[in-house]
Amino acid sequence: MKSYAVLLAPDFRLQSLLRHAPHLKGAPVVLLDAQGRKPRVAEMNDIARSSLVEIGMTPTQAMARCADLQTLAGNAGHERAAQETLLQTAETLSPFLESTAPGVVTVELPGERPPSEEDLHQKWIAPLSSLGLETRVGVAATPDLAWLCARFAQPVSRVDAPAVFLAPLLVEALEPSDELLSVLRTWGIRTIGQLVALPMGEVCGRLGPDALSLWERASGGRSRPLKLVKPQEFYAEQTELENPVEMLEPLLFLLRRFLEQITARLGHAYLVVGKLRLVLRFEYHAPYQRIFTIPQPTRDVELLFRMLHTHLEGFTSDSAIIGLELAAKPVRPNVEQFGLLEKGVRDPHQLAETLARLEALLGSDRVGTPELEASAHPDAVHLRPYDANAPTLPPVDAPLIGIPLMRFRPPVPANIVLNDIQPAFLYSNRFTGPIKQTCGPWLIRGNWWDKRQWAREEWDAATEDGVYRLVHDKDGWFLDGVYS
Amino acid sequence: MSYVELHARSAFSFLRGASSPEQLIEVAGKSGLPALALCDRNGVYGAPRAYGAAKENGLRSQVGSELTLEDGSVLPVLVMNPDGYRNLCRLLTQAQLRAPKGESRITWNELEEFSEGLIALSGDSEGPLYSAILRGERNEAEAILQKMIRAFGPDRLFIELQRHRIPDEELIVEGLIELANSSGIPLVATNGVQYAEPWGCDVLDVFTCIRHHTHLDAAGLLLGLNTECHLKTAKQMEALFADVPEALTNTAHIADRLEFTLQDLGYAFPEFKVPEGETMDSQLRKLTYFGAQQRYGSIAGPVREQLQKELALITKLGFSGYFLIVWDIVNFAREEGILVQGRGSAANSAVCYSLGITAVDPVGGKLLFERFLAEGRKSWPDIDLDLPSGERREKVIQEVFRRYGKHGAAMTANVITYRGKSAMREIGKALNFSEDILKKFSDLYASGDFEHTLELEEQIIQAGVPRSHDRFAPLIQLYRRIYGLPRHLGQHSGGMVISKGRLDEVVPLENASMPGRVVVQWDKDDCEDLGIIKIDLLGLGMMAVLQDAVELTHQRGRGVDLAHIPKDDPATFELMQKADTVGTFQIESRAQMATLPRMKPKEFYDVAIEVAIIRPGPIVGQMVHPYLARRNGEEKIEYIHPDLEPVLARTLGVPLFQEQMLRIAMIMADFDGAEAEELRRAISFHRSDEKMKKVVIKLRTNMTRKGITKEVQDRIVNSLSSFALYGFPESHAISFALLAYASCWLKVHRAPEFYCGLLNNQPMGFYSPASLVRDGKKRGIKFLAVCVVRSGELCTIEENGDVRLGLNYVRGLHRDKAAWLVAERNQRPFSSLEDMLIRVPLNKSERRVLAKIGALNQLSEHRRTALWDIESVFDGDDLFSGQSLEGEKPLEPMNGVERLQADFDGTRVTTGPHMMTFMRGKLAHVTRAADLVKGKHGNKVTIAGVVICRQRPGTAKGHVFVSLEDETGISNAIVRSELFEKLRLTITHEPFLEIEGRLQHLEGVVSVLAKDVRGLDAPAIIQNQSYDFH
Repeated sequence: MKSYAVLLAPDFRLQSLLRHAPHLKGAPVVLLDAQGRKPRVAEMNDIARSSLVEIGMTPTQAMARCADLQTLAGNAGHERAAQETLLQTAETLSPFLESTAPGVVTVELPGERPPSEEDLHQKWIAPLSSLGLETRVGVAATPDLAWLCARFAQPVSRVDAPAVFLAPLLVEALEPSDELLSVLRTWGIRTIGQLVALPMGEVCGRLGPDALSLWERASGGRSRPLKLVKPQEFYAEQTELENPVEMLEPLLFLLRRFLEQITARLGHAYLVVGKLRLVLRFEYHAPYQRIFTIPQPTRDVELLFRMLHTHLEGFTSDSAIIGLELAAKPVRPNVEQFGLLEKGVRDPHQLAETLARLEALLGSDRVGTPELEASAHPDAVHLRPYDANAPTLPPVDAPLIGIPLMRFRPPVPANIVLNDIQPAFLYSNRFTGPIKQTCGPWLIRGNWWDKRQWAREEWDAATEDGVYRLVHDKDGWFLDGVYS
Repeated sequence: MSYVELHARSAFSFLRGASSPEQLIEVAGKSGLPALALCDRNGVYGAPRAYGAAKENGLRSQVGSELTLEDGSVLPVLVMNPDGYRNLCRLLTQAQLRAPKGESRITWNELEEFSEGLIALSGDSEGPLYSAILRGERNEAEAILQKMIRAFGPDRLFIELQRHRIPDEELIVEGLIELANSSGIPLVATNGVQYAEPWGCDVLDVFTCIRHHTHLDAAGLLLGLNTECHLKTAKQMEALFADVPEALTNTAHIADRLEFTLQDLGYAFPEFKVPEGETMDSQLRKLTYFGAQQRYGSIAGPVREQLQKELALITKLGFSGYFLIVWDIVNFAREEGILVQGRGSAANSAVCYSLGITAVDPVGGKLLFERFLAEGRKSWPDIDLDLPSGERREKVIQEVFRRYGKHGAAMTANVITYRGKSAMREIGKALNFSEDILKKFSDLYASGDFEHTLELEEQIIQAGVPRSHDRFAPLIQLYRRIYGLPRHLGQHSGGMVISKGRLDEVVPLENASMPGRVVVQWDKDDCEDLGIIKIDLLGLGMMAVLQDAVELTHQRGRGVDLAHIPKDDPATFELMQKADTVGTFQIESRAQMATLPRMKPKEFYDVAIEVAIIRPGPIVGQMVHPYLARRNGEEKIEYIHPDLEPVLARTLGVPLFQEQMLRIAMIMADFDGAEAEELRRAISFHRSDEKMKKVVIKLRTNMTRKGITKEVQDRIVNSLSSFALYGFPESHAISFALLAYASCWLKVHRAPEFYCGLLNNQPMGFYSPASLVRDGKKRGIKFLAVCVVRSGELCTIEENGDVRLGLNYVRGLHRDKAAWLVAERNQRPFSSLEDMLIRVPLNKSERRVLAKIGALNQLSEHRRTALWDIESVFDGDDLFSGQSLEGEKPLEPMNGVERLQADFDGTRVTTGPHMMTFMRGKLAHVTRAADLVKGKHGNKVTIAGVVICRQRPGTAKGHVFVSLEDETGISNAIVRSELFEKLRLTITHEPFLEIEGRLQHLEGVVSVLAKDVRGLDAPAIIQNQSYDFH
């Protein structure tokens, strides 16, 4: 007969956060669910629970019960990682896994040699605990029953007599709909035992199909096929070096080997590399980490290697490398069509290498596609990473007025002699001489509400050399451009 | 060169201006401007305040408005003369009344129709010309200009230039100048003022974010480019427009043509139609003497003298029509069987008493007529009418609309300002703070409006914004700058204005959010300042209770007439002395109940003092204790000055009423009628410290001249300052005392009718229905649960005197369904549950709630059998499952706690045992409310119960008064300020509390001085039923 185990991490979302927040150990903590209009307590740790904080309270109500309560919001990334950890751990006992819900993994156990309670402790509970996840395990003949069993397990439990196990449990354990639960409460039905003691036909006739499904769960549930998943394979290679590396060549040798291994594994899964993460560990320094976005995802070892090579050529450190890690984020390959509706880059590999070279030269924050910001500041622009598939920017819909201004980048520092408030004489590398006529000042400011605040005063100044735009800001006077 | 700012928006442009009209005028004055034209968007909302401030600052305030046109562009217009003002008001009214709030649009045709007397400017960046000029579309700009010329003619149209030192604005200015040169339309310079001083730009940026539902980080180019839209001096404007000097000189020329100010409003109170051969004065005299005959029996001696004096003054001031109109409204109410009573200073008038407007005899009560009407008074007298709240008051309001027409009557507005929670919430959102922080900040206020002792900075820190946060300082600064600015315009609860002829030519009207109501653009103080007469038709829950209760006494054959209940009933005074006043009018609050046993009212006037004494005013002035101590013989009766003995003798030397303050000023500082009126306005108007300061200076000067010592002067001025905050007139106290006394009398002698009336008029007062039911039970009244076989739509009284809860208490049962149920039952009683379910089309949730609360018990065995049976019926098209309701009923009956839970879920009230009964077993250490009196002063004691009231009076040094209810009554605790701050959230958010402290048993008043407060782990029986911080 088949049997199922459910591996359950109670207060999963909170646990997935707390394993990354050791400073909150010993503090009362709740997780707020902000999906509704008002944030409410969705999960809590035992310390908060002992202060009589309850699920569904507003943060203020909860803090009325527990003054030093810490409130956290969910983190999808941490939750995904924790769920992955549960799946990988569960796989140690069976390959037949279902990622049933966040914090719940259902496993079909091998029929011929089901694991003992001790096995479950050793293979699941203990390793997960060391990774910061406290879990429970329930074993039963159906997935639903195993899940119920896990909810009340301490920490491992097995159901042999379903009716006896279920009878004292509260109906809420079956997670009925709010309406159904409300009716059952007014009926005075609190436990599953009380529910199943009612005449089934009469109850289901009154309360409809929801009640029927509840009844089924209240009777131990049906066996059902699991929606099997395979834990996502982690495409990474790492090594700790016995002899620290000080030269580029041995490092490149290792990296090429890693790349070959990773791309081979990706090839089996018909995947390509979307991003690469390189981590170098040093003898004395904090680790160095660098993420490479591959503009046109690929598993071409040569191309990927060239990108790493180019980057490392410009990299120096005064400490030897004692370990390295290379991880790939797999993605599905892009379907490309060159020709009639041409899209994408002709030679993405060349582009990737060029971008890598530019980044090595200029820094990663100075390479990308410029995007205007909605700001009055003339230089309000930021760079987003280049994406060959990004849509073309729409043309700017502002009327072009006035004489064109050629901006100086960077602005040319200047000294100005004022006559009252008007600029009268200009000293700069570009031109020095009297100002014949001025127009201005134009005043603009922005971000007055935080430390990014700025203000500038602009003048148009006619000189023998032409009409310049002068700018005065907190750093002094500059020639900002010339009208041409 | 003289410059006048002709285009300024105030904060009354609602999120489009950042300074109050008063701030604009003040800065204009300081900048040396001789006049300022206020052009608020789509209205003249700020005009009265600008006018008032301008008068004080020696400036001229001119009236204008920015009109939103049909194409969305905005055209500023300025009022030249009274015709222009009337046209502007009608134009705005017409547009406002046909559009949803905030979406009014004016057509070009309407502009032509109503342009007489108005000057138009071509507008700023939102103006009709701007877009065409910016795009270089010269022909289009000329065509628009021609439309404007058609509407206003070339002599009343100006092309407006603005320079805000914004890059590229010169191209617009050049385009406009070219247009002016080619068309011959003159130029005018304005600064398009949106705030008084440069810092106002930050406030405007926040308002812009609020208006666009965004935050500063995302608002981008919506925000101000610089801070140049502030009021500028003539010199600054000269520097800006040196190249077009005529644009500046034209400002003065235009200002000269703007002759109109709000002084020429053209308002007249409607005339009252009198029979042929009568004048309004003679008709008033006739009606007054007729009424006086009935009220007083005979008109002789002081009554005749008083009536003659009042009538002479009313005639002299031309107020007869006003009295007749109010009399007419009162008559209408009486004819419709609606209880009505005048309140406020009108109760000082024997004419009002004789006309039946008020119920207090001012001659017998020696009330000060001058408090109501004085020779030097410039504004109209104030007669407020109390009516039963709800439909009956609405009937009277609609009658006034019917009589004076949609354009002849309107409600006054209520200006909702930014303060407290709302201000911080909206500023916080604009500064992009998280919802969590904003919610916590709001929660730290608890609820209601009360003296808030938590410092703003501390509150923000507690909400989760550290002082080091780079937006901490802007948040504080913005809050202080925005505090008090108008947020939106609401409707005053009962203030109505009526006009002879068209009210919409006096002030623009607009739709209120309530259907069938029209509201003026000014609030009641603005109306009063401009001489527009207001009649307050106020809804009072207790009036509705009294009327319902009296009607019930008649139905039950033991009718009472409130006008004739004995005023010296010992049982009624005994009830007050024992502070058994839950549910009564005015004297039911925690503070009143704590004073009643000390006060021990013995006669009617004591009730008036009791009503007045528990007011923040007297408490601030340190006067409660002296009065009570003197009354109980513990302190010597003394007077501030021997000359004041006749004035203060009735209140044992302690000034308690406004009338006394006026008399003190008349005696000690020789104030005449006009000065007394000034003083009255200063102490009635708590919006202006300025007014108060002026009066105090005059008072001191006069007293010094009379040789009054500084000590006496200080005592008088201190009393005055308290009254300025919370003044209470004696006549008002007496009017309220009448209602308070009547409610107590009914509670004693017609208790079932009284409680039934109370339950049918919730929510009102300090206590929830659950507390009222518990209080009624204490008096021996039996309350019966809702029952489909017996209950009416409202609560009713059974033949034996039991009060039956009505179907109005069933949560989720629609009023129509309740009416249907009662109609079906009246036609033919329900023979069974099936019969009822077939005849009354209730939906599933309605059936469930009726079964759950036991309303079907008479047709079923118990609540759960009914719950089982009603699930056999399906919703929709009278479809009945055909299943018989007979057969096995497997559900067990509910136990006590379950019934209680069901009652609170379904009706928020229970007729069964109190919830604390079920918790008592676990609370052996807790003293019951009823047992507290047995304890000794100073004993350690613990009380517990459901929180029914949390109060934090501004006068109590931050202490909080918490009332807990258990199955035996109410216990009161005092939580000191420090403990409250420590346990703020526990005290304000826990529905059940356990309070440990020391018993205070003083002068018959029992309370607990809290040392520790904990939330009580109670079952989820009820939601928070507390009425907080009144």
